[in-house]
Amino acid sequence: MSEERAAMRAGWQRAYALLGALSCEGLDAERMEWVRALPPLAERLPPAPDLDALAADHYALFGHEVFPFAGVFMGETGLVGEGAAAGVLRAAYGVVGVPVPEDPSVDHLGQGLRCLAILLDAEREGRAHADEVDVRTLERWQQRVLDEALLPWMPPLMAALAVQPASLWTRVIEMAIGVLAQHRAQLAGLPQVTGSLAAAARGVEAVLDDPRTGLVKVAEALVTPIRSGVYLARRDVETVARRCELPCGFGARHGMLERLMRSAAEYDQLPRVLDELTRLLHARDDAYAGLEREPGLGPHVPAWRTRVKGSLRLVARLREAASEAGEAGEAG
Amino acid sequence: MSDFASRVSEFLGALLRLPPTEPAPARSQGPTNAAGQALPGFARSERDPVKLTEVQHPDGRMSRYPPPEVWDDWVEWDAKAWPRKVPRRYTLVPTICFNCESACGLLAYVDKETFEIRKFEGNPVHPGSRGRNCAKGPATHNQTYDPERILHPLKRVGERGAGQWKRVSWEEALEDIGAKMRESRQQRRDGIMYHVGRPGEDHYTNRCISAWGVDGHNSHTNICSASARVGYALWGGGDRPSPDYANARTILLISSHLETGHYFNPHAQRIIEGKLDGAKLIVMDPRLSNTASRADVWLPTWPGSESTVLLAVARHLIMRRTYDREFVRRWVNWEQFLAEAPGVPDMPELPVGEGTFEDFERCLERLYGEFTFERAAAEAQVPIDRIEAMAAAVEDAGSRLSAHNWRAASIGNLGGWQVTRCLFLLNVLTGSVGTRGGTAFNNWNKFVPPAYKQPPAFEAWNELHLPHEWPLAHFEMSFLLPHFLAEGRGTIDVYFTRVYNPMWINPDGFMWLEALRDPEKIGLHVALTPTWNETAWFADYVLPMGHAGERHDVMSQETHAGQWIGFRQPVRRTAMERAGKPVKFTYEANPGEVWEEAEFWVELSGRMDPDGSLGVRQWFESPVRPGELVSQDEYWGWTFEHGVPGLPEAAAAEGLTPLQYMRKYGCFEVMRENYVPYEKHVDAEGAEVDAQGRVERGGKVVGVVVDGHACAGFETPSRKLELFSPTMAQWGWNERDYVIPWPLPSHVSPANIDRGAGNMILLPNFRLPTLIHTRSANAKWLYEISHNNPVWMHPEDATRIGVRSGELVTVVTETGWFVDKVWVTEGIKPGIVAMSHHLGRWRLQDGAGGSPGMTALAHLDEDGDGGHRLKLLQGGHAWKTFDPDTSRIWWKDVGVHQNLTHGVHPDPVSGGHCWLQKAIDVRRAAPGEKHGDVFVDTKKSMEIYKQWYALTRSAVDHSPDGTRRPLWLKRPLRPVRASFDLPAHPFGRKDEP
Repeated sequence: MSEERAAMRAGWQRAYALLGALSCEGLDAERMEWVRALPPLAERLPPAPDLDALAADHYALFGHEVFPFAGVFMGETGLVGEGAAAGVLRAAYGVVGVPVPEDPSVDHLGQGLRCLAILLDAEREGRAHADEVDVRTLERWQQRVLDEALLPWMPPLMAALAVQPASLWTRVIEMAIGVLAQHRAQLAGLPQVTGSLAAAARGVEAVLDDPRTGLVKVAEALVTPIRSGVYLARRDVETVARRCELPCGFGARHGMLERLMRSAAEYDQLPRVLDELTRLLHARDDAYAGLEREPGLGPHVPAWRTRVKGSLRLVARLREAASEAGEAGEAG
Repeated sequence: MSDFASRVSEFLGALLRLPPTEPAPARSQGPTNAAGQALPGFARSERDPVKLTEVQHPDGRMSRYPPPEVWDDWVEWDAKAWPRKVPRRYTLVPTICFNCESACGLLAYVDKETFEIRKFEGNPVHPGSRGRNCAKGPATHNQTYDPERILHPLKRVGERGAGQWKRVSWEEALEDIGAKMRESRQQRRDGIMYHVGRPGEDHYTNRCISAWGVDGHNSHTNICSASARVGYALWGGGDRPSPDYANARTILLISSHLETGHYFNPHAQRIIEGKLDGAKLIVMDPRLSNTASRADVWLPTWPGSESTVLLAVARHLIMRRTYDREFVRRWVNWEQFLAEAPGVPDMPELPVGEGTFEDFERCLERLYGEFTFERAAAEAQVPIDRIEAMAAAVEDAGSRLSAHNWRAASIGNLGGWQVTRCLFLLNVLTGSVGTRGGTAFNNWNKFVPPAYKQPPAFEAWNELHLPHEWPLAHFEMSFLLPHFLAEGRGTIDVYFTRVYNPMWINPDGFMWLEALRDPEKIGLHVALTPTWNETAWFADYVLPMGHAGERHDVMSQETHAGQWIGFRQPVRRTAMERAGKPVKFTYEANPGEVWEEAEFWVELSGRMDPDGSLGVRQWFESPVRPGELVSQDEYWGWTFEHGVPGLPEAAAAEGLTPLQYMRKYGCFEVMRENYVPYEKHVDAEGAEVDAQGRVERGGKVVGVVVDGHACAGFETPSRKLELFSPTMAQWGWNERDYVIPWPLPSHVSPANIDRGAGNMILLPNFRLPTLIHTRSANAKWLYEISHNNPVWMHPEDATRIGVRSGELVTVVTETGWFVDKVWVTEGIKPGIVAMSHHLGRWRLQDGAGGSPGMTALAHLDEDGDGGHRLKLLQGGHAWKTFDPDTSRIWWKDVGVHQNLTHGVHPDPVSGGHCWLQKAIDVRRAAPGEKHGDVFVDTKKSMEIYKQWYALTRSAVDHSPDGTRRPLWLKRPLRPVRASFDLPAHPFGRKDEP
């Protein structure tokens, strides 16, 4: 292996270790020194960085707004630990004989990054000992982790972060996604789109075909990324609510969205809310379009765009129904 | 390559240029002492944590805590490092909380390497608090590491109040103050005054004052509990109640203040236990307090009507004969009543008959028959069904009625001591005195060890403390000190204020300002305080004294029906000594040069009397090192060895000395339960029994014969519970309304409050449960929770005045006015406005005198003719220190200092300041009146003082035996008998020289 390739791998390994720790645990005094020395991260530090304030921002982003877990993005009901990614990561940790971390859950992005750091380090050792079988095995597992556990949900994660306030923490995830994409692009073979993502998703608009569907079901479908194609953060719902001058309350995302739509219906503002949601969905689709050209990420994007189209159809049907109801009401 | 990809490449390139290994974690450099100067640091342990003990106790004790056997070497994960697992190693040092008077146990986690304190948690083996604390306990950490704390002794260099200070050594301060004390003591025995706000200990300082041979103790009791104390003392000798809430069937509180503020933790947890066990909770309070909101029956009574309501409940029991007749027959001084009550002015004709108990019962019916539910409901302005529900619950309680009154109505109203008399009448009628689930007296449930080498009683009586006009006061007339000084009753040579901020916490603060500034009245003012305060600003010396984890004291409180003793200790010092690092004086271990009074008094007394010629020094000398001053180890070693029953044996069982035991556990349970001690048998053999059945031995009454058996009885002259008070009758209060439990008209009764003219009642004596008088302003967590004190106002009144929540109102009192925001709430009775005290701190200079986040910068204008105008220039704001939290202050409103506008209201019997104020007007603030503005005319202050002074009945005119005060009543420090004699030249009398 050339020195250049070895250095590249060393860079990925160190990047995964650092970014994994930062995304899981945040900053401490030691990591602060590293961050200061890395311009893409350092430029996002405030003028007088304060660890407590940065920890609060870390919590606000990853504990309140955007949950960086594969299960949240890829799970059928959007729960932490749900879906195939967690299983892949557990197996990968097992391959290198490292206990599976569970806190935070193994499907946390940071745990995936750490797993790759360990795999790369093991691969380096394998190369040092000229153990070609091990090296091939470890490369294959890197590929699996990338294709099945991490890269598939990076497009909606990146699009969701793009509308959050720019911070050190959004930059940490951007860098992580970039390294993942570069890493995958350098591995052999074309990126594989994981089955769960490639599978023709049950059209989200199908929820409207069930006569029992109410606003609760609609809200649940829209906040579940694997169904709607987008990750809606609390801030997204609040932004729509603020634009429409309607309350959305507090609590879980689906509850906020449901309350927003319910109060919109009560105040005859549902069309306006649906228009705002349409605008949001189009914006996300535009973001996805931009990612299609990024090596490593591109193959995973079409599946998300397909889902966004389904969401747009769902919103359009609701919009139509709301308009009809409004007209009927006026006529009555 | 896209921009994004190139950014990633840049990142990876930079990463590869960094050294291959992560920087080594910062390691501790050994002991540090960061408090007041930096955030504390903690070392990383090399070993993993020990498991917590998990025990399911049948009572209210904690179930998970560090086992005491490993307190000296405890490792746990650093919670702030989560989710990383960073082990920290501590020595756990028990101490006693100092943030109210309930003396809960704290456990300080002291880093074994840096000796910095990580946190304070509850002490699981403490019998009173049982491992629990309220918010004020853990906030001790805030006070310890407060960026604004005073770290060194300071001496004034400019005019008093000019804010110019220089740092001096302890030696310099001791020499100067000691010399002035010596000079005073050589001339007189009433020139040194120690004025204590929060005692926080049980005998040490009183012993020191006695050793100085002066009448020098002054307290804050008369702005706190004086009236309740009189009410209880007249009944049974003990001057405060000790309810057994956990076992009660009915809990009756006329003091939300205490249960939500003072004894919040030990009492609240037992009230909860009682309630979980089915007890009914009844609260009388015009304000919907935290406790009232949890009550089964809330009676928002009009202030001053409480006695009538209580007597209506008493009537219910009397008329239905559902009271404990046997208890009343055995323990009430009914025979004395039948003999002495007839003929008392205003007393109706009583059916005394043949003098039998049945005759007495008929007298009760005759006396209290007029207190119907209808009358009570009308006076209290509450629905009658609530009074009926209360009566039913009291009747149902039997001997398990836990009742409590401490401040609230008793200290609020003129004659408030009768509220307590009427409340305790219910305990007497239900036979719930000292029973399981009943109400005891504090001295049964509080343990005070004897002092090491007790000095004799002094020969002095300080007229500034207990003047002849208030012979029954409980205790010193402390809040009138500036008025006494103004009218020329005396002067002070050396004045110590100790954790006390009278200018801010007392009524009529500008009178204090005038007194404190006058060196002719107060020669030397030494403020012993852990924090800056408004009073210290006008001191000559500001000497930093420690918080809870920085001092030695013993303390016990009546938290439940048992007895225990707690040991407060300086936790850094103890941790250092455990580690083999000797410490001579506590200031060597405390932050900066912060000291503790216990050592300070010893060293100061040594300077006061260096050669022993005053006879003072002998009381401060070591028992084992002749001629040298006693150390804390020697003092407490003696106390625990000789003064605490059972402790030497418990210590020996663990191979420890008693002092080592107390340093390890911080407390000792002296008695698990103590019910009905008055029934205890007294050996009457060889003793004399007088006509009243009192058992006398050696000239002292030691018991009373009841039904042929000699029992301990109560600490009253009759040794019985005194429904009829011969003391009141003998000392000039010989009317029905004073000699038996009876309602007295309050100064804020409806007759004195013309609501049609806009009058209201200002209820200023509640507080939010996170406040600690002055010292909450040095506890950031507490101030974040509560930092302002808006005016509570009922919606009806708000509509009448035309204000909404957040708008400004001007409250006009008898002596001035203030401006505050209003909070409209149905949690206050119409006609009453309420404001929490303990808020509204201010400072006169930026950068000194208080922290910018918790005090307002103020300007004070004085017109030289009594007019004082305080204007707030800037509210609380963020400021930069080593503590990042100070730059996160998000509030501006730090409250309004209402007490400045309160005229003094000394009750003529108890001497307590009757806190309720007549608000002459409450109106929307006028243009130009700003939030926090205060105006006071101290000429009016003196007028109000004189109006209340006129209500007094002096011992000079009424003493039955030529004494100043009934000998049997308590006095914090007791002089020799001869000093009780009336003065030859009473102040204010014609023959005064």
